[in-house]
Amino acid sequence: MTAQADYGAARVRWIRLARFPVGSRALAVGLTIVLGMALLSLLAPWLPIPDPLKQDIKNRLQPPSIGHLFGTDNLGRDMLSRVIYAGQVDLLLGFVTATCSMVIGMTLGAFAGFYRGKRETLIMRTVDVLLALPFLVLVISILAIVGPGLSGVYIGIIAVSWVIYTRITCAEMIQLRERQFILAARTLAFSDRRIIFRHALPNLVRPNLAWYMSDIVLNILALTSLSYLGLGVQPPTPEWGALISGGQTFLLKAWWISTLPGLVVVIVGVGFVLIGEWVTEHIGGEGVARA
Amino acid sequence: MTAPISVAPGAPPPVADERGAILDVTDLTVMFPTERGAIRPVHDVTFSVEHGQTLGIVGESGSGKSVSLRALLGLVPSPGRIESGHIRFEGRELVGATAAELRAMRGRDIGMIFQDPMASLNPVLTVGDQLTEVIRVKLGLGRRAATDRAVELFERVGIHPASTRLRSYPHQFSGGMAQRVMIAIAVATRPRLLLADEPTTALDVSVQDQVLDLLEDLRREEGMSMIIVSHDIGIIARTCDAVAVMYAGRLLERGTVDQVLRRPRHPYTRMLLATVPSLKPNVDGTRLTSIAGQLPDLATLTMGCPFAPRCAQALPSCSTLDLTLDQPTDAHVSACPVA
Repeated sequence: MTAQADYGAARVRWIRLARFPVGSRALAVGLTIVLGMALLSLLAPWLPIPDPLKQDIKNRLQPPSIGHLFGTDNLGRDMLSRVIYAGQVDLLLGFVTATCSMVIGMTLGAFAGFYRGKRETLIMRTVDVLLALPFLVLVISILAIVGPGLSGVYIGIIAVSWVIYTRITCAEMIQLRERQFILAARTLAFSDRRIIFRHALPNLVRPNLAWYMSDIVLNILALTSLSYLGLGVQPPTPEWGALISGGQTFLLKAWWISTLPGLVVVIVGVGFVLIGEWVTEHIGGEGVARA
Repeated sequence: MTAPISVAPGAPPPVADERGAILDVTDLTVMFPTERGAIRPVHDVTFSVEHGQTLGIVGESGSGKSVSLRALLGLVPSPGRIESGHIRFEGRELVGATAAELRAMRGRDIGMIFQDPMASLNPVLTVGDQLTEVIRVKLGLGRRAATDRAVELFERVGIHPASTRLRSYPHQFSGGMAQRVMIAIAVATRPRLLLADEPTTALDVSVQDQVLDLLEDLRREEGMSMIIVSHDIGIIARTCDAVAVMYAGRLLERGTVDQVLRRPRHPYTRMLLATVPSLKPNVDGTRLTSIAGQLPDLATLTMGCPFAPRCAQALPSCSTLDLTLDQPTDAHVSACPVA
């Protein structure tokens, strides 16, 4: 009996440890990756790593070693340092563009869904047109107008990626406006603006949040793709896509220059996806919202 | 108007010194255009609410009760609209009033509570936020004063401990408690007319009584008038002074509770009363009484009495009957020529 009880207790403790936090190891892993990367990038100036721009021709194309964990590139720059500093540019872009797109997209979607009629037609047909064209093609055509470079990428991505939020929000709003508590707010004669922003929008944040996590990744990937094409971040500023394309010429001689930054992008992407999955799964219970 | 609700239990109820009607609805018709032609869920309806009294509107589902209430607030769901008739609230005409005029009156002069209290509260805002918002927006009180008022209102509607419960979210309330929150929100601005759309239908029977008592007490203390819409004759009988019976958008009978429930004249009212289940031993072996047939299709409804197809006493002339009930409001009137 006693042995059995002890065994049970040990088992319970083990399960509890394994289930950090609220039963989702995937969330814990995702948060560790994303927050870890963000922290590394933010603290980069204080970390014991070389200057990402400092060239050292004597030590060019060194394979990964204790001194250079990610090796060095064709100009002898430390790849680990460059990958970490690149995180600043990429994560900031992902976060800022996704947030701006969500704010713009949700506002437009809320208006379209609340008023219906001409406003809905105008906004949603614009969304349809933008969605019909490939994302990168649109961003590149906007870059052609505003000129290449990081600020151009910001403008281009925000100008295109609000549409998904608008579509999500509009569809949800059309249902929400028929709900009793919106009618109740109208019987109290609150202004439309108050009903849309204070009563409706907090209920629409969560369906958008799931897409928000994916959007951050997609926007980072858009920046890496554009930098790879030479339209994004200009050298010598480190950026993940630029690092990958910079190592392309040396792929056979020095695989680490392209491969390791690529691996980092994949891992960070997986981290965001894990968080996103958790958000999606936990959207259901409306009653427990604390938005 | 912004004076706090009196909490003192012994305070004498304010006497409604103005006699006469606070609300006069005359020949109100609400029309919805559909592909199959115009539908009129409210058709030539005439009733009035006296100062400090409660009017009950009874009818089956789909009889036009709720649409009538929404029409009073100028909130007929699109694409419907008020086709004709008059709504006079304290002498002011509301049909044709501008959106701004209706807005000024809604939620301030006329309050409303709904059938499903849980669905009427915003799930992502605390009940305190929702209550103080009304007080701040409609009465222009500051944050501190609004919170004090909210605590007072919660205590008045029987939610304890008030200051703690203000910080709760709607899902942390039971149905009965949520309806008390809705009532607190509706009376926060001290409206002079309170519209209650099936206020207890979604609640447990044991809680229904408490909510009705609360409504009745508040009505007396505040000198409000009230309209209660319900399909439950028992609720109408215990809370209302006057009754209007609606069927398929038409008003069939109107009078005081005593007149209509004790001496019903319209065959529909009689059948409706017969369907109320009794707790007495069932001697003659009959089970629940029901009215044969169903509500007519509003799109095909043209003239005459809409109840005629289901009526045992129907005459040939019923199909061309004029149903307009515009006799003096205090009379017991029936749209039926037979009774």
